[in-house]
Amino acid sequence: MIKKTFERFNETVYELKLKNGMKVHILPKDDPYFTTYVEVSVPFGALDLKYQTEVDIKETPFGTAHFLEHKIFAMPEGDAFLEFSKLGVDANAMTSYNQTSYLFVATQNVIPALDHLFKMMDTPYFTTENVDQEKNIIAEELKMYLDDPNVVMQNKMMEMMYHVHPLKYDIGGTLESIMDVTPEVLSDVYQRFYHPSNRLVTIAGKVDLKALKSFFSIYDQTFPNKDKKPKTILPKEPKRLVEKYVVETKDVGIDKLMIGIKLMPSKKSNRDQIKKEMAISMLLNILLGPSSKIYAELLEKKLVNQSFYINTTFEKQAENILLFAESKKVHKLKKILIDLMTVDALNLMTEEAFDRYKKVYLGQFIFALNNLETKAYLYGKYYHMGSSLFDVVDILKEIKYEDLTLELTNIQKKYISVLIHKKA
Amino acid sequence: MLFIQNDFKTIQFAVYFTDLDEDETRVYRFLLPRLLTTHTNQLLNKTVMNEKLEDLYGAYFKSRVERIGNYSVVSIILTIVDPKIVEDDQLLDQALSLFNQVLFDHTSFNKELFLEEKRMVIEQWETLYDKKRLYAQTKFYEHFFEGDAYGKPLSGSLKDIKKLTVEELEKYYHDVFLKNTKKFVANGRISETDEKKIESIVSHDMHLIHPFTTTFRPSRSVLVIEEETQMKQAILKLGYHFPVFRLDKLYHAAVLLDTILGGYPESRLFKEIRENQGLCYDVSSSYDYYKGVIMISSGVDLKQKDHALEAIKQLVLDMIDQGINEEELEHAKAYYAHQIKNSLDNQSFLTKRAFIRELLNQDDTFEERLEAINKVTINDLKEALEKITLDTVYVLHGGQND
Repeated sequence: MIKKTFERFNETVYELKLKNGMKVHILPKDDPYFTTYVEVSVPFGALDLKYQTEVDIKETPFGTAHFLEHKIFAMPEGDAFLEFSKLGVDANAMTSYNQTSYLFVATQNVIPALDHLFKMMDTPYFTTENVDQEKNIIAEELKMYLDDPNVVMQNKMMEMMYHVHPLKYDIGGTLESIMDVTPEVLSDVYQRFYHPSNRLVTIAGKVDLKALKSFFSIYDQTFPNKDKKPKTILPKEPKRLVEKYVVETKDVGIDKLMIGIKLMPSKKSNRDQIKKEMAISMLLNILLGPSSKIYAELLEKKLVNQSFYINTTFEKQAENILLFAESKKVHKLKKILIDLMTVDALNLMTEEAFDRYKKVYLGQFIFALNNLETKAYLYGKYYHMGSSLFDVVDILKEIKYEDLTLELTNIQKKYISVLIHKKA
Repeated sequence: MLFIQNDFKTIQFAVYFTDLDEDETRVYRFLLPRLLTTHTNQLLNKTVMNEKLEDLYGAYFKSRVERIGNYSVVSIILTIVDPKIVEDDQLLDQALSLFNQVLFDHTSFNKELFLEEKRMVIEQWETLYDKKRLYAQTKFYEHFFEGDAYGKPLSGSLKDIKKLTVEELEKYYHDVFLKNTKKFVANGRISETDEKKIESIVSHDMHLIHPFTTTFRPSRSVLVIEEETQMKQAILKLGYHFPVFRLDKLYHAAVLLDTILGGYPESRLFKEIRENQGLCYDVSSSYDYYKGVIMISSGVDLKQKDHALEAIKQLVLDMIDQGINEEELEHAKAYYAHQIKNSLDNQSFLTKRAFIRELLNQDDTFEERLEAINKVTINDLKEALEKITLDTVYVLHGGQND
């Protein structure tokens, strides 16, 4: 077990690598502390729709990773939740574009719950009956999101920006695509992507290191073989947009505007990619964050309300920025925001704001360490990016004002889509 | 002033302004915390205020107004990073000064900012119908708590907001709000010297003139409301009259009952309505122990809404009729105990808990609480189950073309 200490933040990480390749990273918290957070992540997410096998290329329906996440909880003896409940722990799972995570939060019975979590993940149980039953449940989940106007706009915006990249589909898939999921589809992706070799286990909070070491040693003997996951094939996405401008009439109280900026991903080292993501996020905060001149102006001119938000996505071969607002003057707002992003930005940025935001990001990092779930999530995220959560502060120090202005050059009018939901 | 010493990486300063929840003052209490945190006599507008917060390593205010029994509680919480981690010995003083300014340093309010906050609340109302889940919740509350303070929005009505003037709000702030009973909580790694410093700038006062009460009207014959809109699902809301309150002896039994009914993935509603019948993705129950009610909520398949509603009603009737079994009780106890222990690792929870314990005069330790939960019996649950009566059903659903 390798021990790494980060004194400034009073944090320690123990790393364990099993013979089968599974990685276990433990982030202990000193007593008095009650909670243990365990997350097992598998690098198989909503973007992994097409993959190369030894003999051919397989294609799966949109939403397969999310469907599999639901069905991992099915076991021959019944729902895995029953045993978690017996143990008094809170279990859950989530699917993102690039990974699926299974987790539990415990204040007792950590080792039995860990044992059950691995049993659940190592016992695929997909039948026609339980897969068909799950289609109804997932359909209701998708419909729930489709009743949210922001999700509807976001889905449409992805279709306007992307020709073929799977980012254009919701993580859960569509009402039609989930109907094509079968036990065979789930079994195939399970066999190819869920092998212990591909898993990262993050354990944070109250831990018994000796007990954990012993547990993983036994587990390693049970699953000694290594396996390599197949390569995901992503279609080549054209630079251009699918649609630049769409206005839809809707039954809404106030007009809604969404601006999508398609960015061009470029090949970078892991460290440079993290730097780039931070620089873009900082850039957007300086331009449109709560202390920016433009945000104050938008409020003063009654062009936005508290629903205004900015969102960034950085995924394999697809990166974008979304701006959303409810506004009674959408066209005026649209012009100001597009001019800002493509013409005025450089004149509105100051090194003073940049220095302030460096402090903000250091603060946000510390805030994140305060919460077990956020800490474990970010730990996994940066690990999968080939870095470490605790390196982030050093990377932050390396960012220069010029890095932000350089990122501005990637934002071009011809790669901006506009979607308006106009009040009927 | 109450200090909670612990090892979190952040420090929280919280204040709770407490008064009676009344129709006439609701709109003031909703807008005030929003306005107080946007500017002060020295930080004249939002931009300057946000620059100040950014300079304090992204410190942030969280404010809200909530009902606790017959009280209206306005909370304002400032969270900063532990100055020792960022090695900034000015940070605590600067944060304290800002907290103090936000609460007390307002000779008058910036009229433009007042109008801006007012517009935001009005626009929130104008878009309520777009957010179907929030809309359903608001309408359900209106019907279930008709004639009760809970049935009225915390923001006051749209009419109240529209007619509110900055002069009225200033008068309420100076004449009433600042004289509210106040409790201050500081939570984090704070030295004794800093404790004294904090105590010198805030005056803690927890003397409540009005007694704390938890009441609700008697049950009535079932009220059923259906509303059609454009949506893909149907949202079901069921309100049950359940007169067991926070300080009652059956309180822990009531929490366990709610857990077994719809509080976690092993609950009856989750297993039967979602897993066995596949009628929904989300279904849960929630127990409001200040009001003595249980509410069930689910987004179900539009075409099966009537069947789903009957299935939920029948499930509750079966539970009342047949009771629960030992295994269910044991699982719920384990889950409930876990929730309590888990919450003790959450800084924001601990901050609020300190206030609630003083408000309700509670001094039991968490070990005593766990012991009390352990002692709950099947008979206690049976007694609690006998108090459940269906009162209100609200259904918001899409039409045939959705």
